[in-house]
Amino acid sequence: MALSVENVSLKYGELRVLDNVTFEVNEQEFVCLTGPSGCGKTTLLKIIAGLITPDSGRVLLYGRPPSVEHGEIGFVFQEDALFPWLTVKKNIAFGLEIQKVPREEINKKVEAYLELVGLKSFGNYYPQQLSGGMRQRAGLARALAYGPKVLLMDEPFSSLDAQTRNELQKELLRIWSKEQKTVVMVTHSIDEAVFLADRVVVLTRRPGRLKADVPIEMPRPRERTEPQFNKIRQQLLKMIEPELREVGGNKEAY
Amino acid sequence: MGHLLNGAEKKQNHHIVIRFLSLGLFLVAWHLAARAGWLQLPTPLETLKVLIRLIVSGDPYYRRTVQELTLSSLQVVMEGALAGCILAIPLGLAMGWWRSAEAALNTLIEIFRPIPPLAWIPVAYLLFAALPSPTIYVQIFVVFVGVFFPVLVNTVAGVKGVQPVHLDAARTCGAKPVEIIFKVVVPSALPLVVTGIRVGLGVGWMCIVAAEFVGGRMGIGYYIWSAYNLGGRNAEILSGIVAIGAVGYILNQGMLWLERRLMPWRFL
Repeated sequence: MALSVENVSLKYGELRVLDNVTFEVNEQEFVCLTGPSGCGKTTLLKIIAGLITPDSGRVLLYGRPPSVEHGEIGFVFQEDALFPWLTVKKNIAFGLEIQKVPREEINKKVEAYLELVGLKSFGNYYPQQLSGGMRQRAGLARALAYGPKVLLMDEPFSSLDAQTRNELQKELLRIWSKEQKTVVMVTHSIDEAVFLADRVVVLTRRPGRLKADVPIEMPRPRERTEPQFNKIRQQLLKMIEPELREVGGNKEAY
Repeated sequence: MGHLLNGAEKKQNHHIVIRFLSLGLFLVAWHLAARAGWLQLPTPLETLKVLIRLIVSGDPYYRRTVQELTLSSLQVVMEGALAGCILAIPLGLAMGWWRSAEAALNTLIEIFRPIPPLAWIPVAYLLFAALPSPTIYVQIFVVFVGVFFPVLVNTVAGVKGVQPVHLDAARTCGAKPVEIIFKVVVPSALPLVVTGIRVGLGVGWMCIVAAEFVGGRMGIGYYIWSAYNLGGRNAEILSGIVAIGAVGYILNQGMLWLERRLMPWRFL
């Protein structure tokens, strides 16, 4: 077992955000975490990363609490999280410098990850000179460069247009299979979850509890037009819809 | 692309024309007003003649050139500004970062901040009365007050403006608190810190000229005030004014240049 989330609960004052959430992620597995707005998906991801401490329960990475200081966690953010004062290269080098990796090795790794995410000729650009999709590629490279044991992604493509988004999903699968990482990705989009994941973990509306843990048994590369793809999508939507109705949420967003 | 470039060039030329136009119109109006006797002042040309003499051979009464007088004032400003930055930047970082530090200091600072720096001149003479030459310390102190508050207020705002996602990003890469401060908070706050220094230098330059009216025997402020007291030296006074304006302009442009050098990502 690579990652286990055990009985995690969290309250903000009187507001119960997460209630006794438990699930496990295998090594090199791609898990999507989904659920209605405000169900605490992002909070749960930040708890896994060690950015937020839960009121009870724990997170184990290979049997021990993950050490964010030692670079065991890679995190890709929803919003633009690149440092605007650093070039793309220096952004990717950031974690490596923090981990005190020797200079020569940093340079090699930066080049390798620039190449991996397809930004080879953009290393000396500043983030604001890049498109949204390129910035998320750079963010992915920064999170992977220092060799974390698990990659956490918080709706990384949600602000991108549909075309760029589909393109980056394919890129992500290519990078994932090459890097052989364990991935937990929060997404709003069932379509995205079905396209990417080995398993989809569904949370209920607030307080977030585990609603379902659904394996996507469909070979890759998956085609969105295949009947099987739609069948799985419908099955997941049916699970989430009652949650939406109760909060009066917006169905179309899914 | 060609059209875009032309557009940009046109825009820039336009600006240069406007700049020279306003300055030119001002000089013409000054000239006419002085000629017509509406202003009891020398014309721009007469002033320029005196200014050149003051630059080349200096003022015989003071045995100093105008640039010596100006640089002497500028040196005091730099010393006061350095002291102001050394105190205001770390304090601003602390107040922006720790709510408790802000809560502890804010009342005190907000009481002192509205006091004009020049109001401190008599207090400073009392404070430094025991020193052998109090005037220089008084002047440095007044500039210090003028620089301190703009730098402090801007540094606090800069630190508070740090994007939470940048802090989280640094933490997920393994950054510890000290690394977060130097690698995220400082570069995030830098643009406003530099703006604070630029504004502070402007205030400091105004302060020194006024402080030199009151005491001391050196500096451009002392020069124009004593030239006035001698009487009949209007062109010398205006030359001093031109020098003050020129230095203020150069200070500001210098800081703008420094901003571009320090923060290239802000000017893409």
